[in-house]
Amino acid sequence: MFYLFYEWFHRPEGALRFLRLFRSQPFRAACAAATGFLLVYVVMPWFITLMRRRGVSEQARHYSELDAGRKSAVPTMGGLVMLPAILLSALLWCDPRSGFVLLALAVGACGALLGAADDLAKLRHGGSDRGLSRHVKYAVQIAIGVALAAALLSEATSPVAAEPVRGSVYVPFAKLGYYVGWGNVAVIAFFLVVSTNSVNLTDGMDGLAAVPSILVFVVLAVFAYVIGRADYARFLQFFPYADQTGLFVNHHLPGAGELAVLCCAGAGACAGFLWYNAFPATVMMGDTGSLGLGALLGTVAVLIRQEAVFVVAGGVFIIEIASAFLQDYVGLKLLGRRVFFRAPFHSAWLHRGISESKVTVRLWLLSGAFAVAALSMLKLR
Amino acid sequence: MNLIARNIKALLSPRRYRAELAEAGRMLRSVTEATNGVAETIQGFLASDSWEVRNCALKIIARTRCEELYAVLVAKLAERGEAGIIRRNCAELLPGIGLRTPEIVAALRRALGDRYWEVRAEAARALAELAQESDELETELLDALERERNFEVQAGLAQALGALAVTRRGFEALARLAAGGPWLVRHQAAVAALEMGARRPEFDQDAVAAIRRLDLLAEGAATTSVFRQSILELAELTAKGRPFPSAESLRRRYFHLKWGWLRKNS
Repeated sequence: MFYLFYEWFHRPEGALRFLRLFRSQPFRAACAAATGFLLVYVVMPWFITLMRRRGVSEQARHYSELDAGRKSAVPTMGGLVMLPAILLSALLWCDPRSGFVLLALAVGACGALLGAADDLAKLRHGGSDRGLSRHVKYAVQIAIGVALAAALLSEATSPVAAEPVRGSVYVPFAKLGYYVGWGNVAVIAFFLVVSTNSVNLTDGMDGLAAVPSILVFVVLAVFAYVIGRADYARFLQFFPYADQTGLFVNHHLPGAGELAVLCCAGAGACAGFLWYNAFPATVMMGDTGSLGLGALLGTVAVLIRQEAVFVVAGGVFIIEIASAFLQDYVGLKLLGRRVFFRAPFHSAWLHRGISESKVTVRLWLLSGAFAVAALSMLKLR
Repeated sequence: MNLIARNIKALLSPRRYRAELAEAGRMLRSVTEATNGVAETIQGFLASDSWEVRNCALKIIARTRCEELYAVLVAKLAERGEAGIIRRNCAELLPGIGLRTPEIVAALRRALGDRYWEVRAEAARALAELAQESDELETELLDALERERNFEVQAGLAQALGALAVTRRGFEALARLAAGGPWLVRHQAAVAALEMGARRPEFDQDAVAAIRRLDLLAEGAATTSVFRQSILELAELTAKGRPFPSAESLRRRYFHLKWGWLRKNS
């Protein structure tokens, strides 16, 4: 919205010349982060009180976890504050006409709605395994992924102007992308299912999902900003292709920088949430938050055509989902035995008797290392 | 047919096996006695390619106390081509049926050398409940403990030593286990040392001294940890000297990975 103030009212001379600040994406990104943080910080205490009064608390699993009982009393569905805070902050500081931003917000909202439906089903039926079935969740996530892919690949709706970039899959250490055209629908839908569920699986301990999410948001913000600028994208050789004379030139994605502002809003909101979710948590994000965040992060990565960056920066998310997949499908279903003591990964550490706060901090450190590795992909691709 | 091929077959026809599993689940919930026809139905489930259906069948055997199929539990425990989860559950179900035959104890002793850690851990716990204390079995448990690197199995072996060990070697092994390592092993070893003290009065004061020597601020033992709390409770329980707590009352303080602090048979 503030960007529109710049467009409508800015004059090079006069009292309103300060409005040129709102043109700067880094400035708006910083403001979006602060807004996201403050919104969550201010609203969350009220939300926690409301959820406590209504008895909306976490449906913790009681296997052998020693303090599952503690979590059962903690209000959940904190995503209901976090995701709207991201939305509001993004609408305030991004260019609200940007196709990139609208698409990302729409998919994030769909993920959050799916998570809210799951949370409500769990609360209604009184059990952590009594939410929406796995099949229903996968089906809805695939549908969202297909819709996102269709919007991205179709010329009429795509915010990505360059058709070769839309239809290509970019993998590390292959300078040119692999053009798959509409085959990208399957890749994007699969990727969105992975990103959404990986954040959901990571959200099993106080503060565990929030910090890696902040780091991935920051990494994606840097990439979005670079990819949105012709000069930086050329210097770092994003999306190269051979022109008619055989020379390598490159595309950039005009407008993608708005996603940097959105990502910073997301990072700020996650930081605000972490204020209350740090061990011992006074609120949980629930599936509303984790599915919403996963969908939003995945969509940003898809829109800037940097799925590999999400895989590296969100290494903790990928480890969590890979361990759960190996345990459930390869271990139990195929081999008829456990592969790990417990899955996802953080549960195995917890099961071994390492305290929750120590496991969380170790995984934060790992996330930091993954984020640094992902940033190095600005050059090393 | 080997296990993986059977599992793939079950995965490829989910509708069929889901129906079978639902039927087995219904039976598990509703049938409490081995009335006419139950054994045949269980045999049918045992022939399924889905390990989850076979698993239900085993639970029905234990629940209905279907004596004519007890041998299946022992056979499945030793069947190398069977799913690890099934073999683990056989070891877990055997104490529940309460038989203490030499065949069952021998099968459990063999299971201490199984390749799958959950089988070894459950076999050790089952031995604690079914076997008689003896020098020979103690040596076997100590050998198993010597080569064991898995903390879940170490915890199970500690529990077995608490119930079955008779010599100072067994006691010292427990005191060593209680002194370091994951909290679960330390806790089980501390309870086991006291249980051994309750069974063998010559070790009771040593057991109390070993509990008092424990470093409660080691890894996983922060000021609010469950381990610290449980050890302090044990120290308090034994602070008055004699009468020493009974072995039965101490056994309730073991922590089961699946059932938490409640004993699985209570």
